[in-house]
Amino acid sequence: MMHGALTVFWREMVKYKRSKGVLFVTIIQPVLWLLLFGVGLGSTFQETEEGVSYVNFLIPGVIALSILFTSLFASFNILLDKEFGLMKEILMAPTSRNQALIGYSLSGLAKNLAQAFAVLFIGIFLMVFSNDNTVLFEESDGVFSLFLWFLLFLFIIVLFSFGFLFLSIAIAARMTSHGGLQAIITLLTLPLFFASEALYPSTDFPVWLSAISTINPLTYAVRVLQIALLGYGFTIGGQDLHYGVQDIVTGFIMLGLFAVIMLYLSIKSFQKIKIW
Amino acid sequence: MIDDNSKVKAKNFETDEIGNDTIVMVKDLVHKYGEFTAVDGISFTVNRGEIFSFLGPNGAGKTTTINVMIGLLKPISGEVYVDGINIIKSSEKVKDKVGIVFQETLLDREMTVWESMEFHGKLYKIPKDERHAKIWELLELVELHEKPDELTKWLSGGMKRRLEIARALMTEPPILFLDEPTLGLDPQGRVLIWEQIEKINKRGTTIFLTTHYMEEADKLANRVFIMDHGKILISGTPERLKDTLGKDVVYLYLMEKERAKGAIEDLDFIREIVEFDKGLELLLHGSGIPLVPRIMEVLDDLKPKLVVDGVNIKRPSLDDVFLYFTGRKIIRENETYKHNFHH
Repeated sequence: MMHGALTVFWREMVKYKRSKGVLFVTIIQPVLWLLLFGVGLGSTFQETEEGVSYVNFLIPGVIALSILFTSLFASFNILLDKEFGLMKEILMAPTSRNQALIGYSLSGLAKNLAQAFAVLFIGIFLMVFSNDNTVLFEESDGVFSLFLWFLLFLFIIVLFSFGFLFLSIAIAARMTSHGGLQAIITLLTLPLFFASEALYPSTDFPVWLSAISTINPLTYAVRVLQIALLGYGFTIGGQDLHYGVQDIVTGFIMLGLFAVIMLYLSIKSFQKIKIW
Repeated sequence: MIDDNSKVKAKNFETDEIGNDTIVMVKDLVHKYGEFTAVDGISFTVNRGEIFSFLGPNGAGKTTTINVMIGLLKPISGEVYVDGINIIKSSEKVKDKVGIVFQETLLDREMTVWESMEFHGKLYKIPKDERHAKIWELLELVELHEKPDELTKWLSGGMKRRLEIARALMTEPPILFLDEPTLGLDPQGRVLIWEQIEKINKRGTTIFLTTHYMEEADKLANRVFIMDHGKILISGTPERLKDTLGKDVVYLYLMEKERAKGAIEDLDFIREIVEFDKGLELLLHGSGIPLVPRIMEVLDDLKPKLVVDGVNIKRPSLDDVFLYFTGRKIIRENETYKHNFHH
């Protein structure tokens, strides 16, 4: 049933594994973000006894940001396949366009997961080897509970990835040049990036910025990831943050809604691809 | 009883029309891109097992016709049947029936020879064991079995083409479309592709070839259709097409073209006189060897004396046919003389 999608996924993975450079960069980039930005900007935050360190605060944010970037740029492959005509082979085969779309999306998801785990691994490394008292998956008490929090963590990544992968595909399927795609994506990432709580807590946002923040999917992804990794309440730079279960529920609803709308738009765009 | 018989007859008539030995039937095919008419009402049939060639310059409408036949393009009007399937009505069903090698190279640079084949086989849902056996068989056929792990970006132009041909055969289609298969290849690469096309044809695959290389159509095709500006100008076996120019082409090298033409244009064995930069090209009804002395006799009698610098007798090639019918490169007789040879 998913034959076409899995075949396209297989092709993308074959190429991803081969391009060692790309593989290395996509994994090392978020780690650099975390270490350089975390240490650099972290030095300006006043760290308190009971609070989390800035580097640890940044872990959920950097995971979300890398997913945002990788997802948005994932559709470059689609644009290239379209431009060089390789998509003819896929679209002429007895498989539906939706299958091809899902195949491309799954490969984007795989790349996102690779990044997320790289960041998580560094986070665990920091947790174990630094004298910081932060514990990742803060709320878990016991193996089963840890497992559930980990599932939550995974699930939110999948949902969030799909939303932006579909958005990116919806744009790329209609574009004819990569310059154009790059411009649109860059324009899109800036407001998403800054009107979120990925890099700093947003309790002091002015009204207009928090308005953007409430419709920004990144905000919700960051919040749920923060809860999963850092707990319902934590202190960062002297600010006490308190979340609840309702934040998780809202996050899922918003990200789910976003993914569904984007899926619809990407299907529409994909149907319009002309291959001759 | 009578009713039954007539039904059988009607049925027979239908299969006769599409024909058991006919794999492609195209009737009154028209396609336009906006105002531009790419294909202008062409009709033809392709017989099962033959190598069929469209010969024509770029922009003649060859690729458009292929795109219609493989179900990529809906034409403005016309009927198209491929292996018994009405393409206009059900373009989806033709996907398994046709193999296609497009004019541009469509290989993923970052995938190996084997992976390219594997991907295609997977897309067409060929079961694993069968697929792998098929990949080796076809790679051997196109002589790429020693390079399964080579990235396609390191292959030569000819190897890339052969890989694409092998890939198109993964589904064992009854008909293989090759759009300008040797475009841009060196002579050795081209000869190798020709050998392989003949080998594939001998395995039982009908080949539909478009080309603008005359010698390619001449060497490979059972039948050649010369196409220009969306129309089929003439069709037939390469031999018959060459015969349409007459038995022989005679080149007279001389300065006074007009005077010579005036003297010989009424000779009944001369079909047409074409001027070229160094003299006249004569298309004859018969063999050149006995007829050239008769032409020379007429020219010798002219007063004042007309100097002929040289004579060349040539069997017409498909090149000459192509240039004659598309009217490119050769200078046609001007209008005033035209009615003379269409007697």
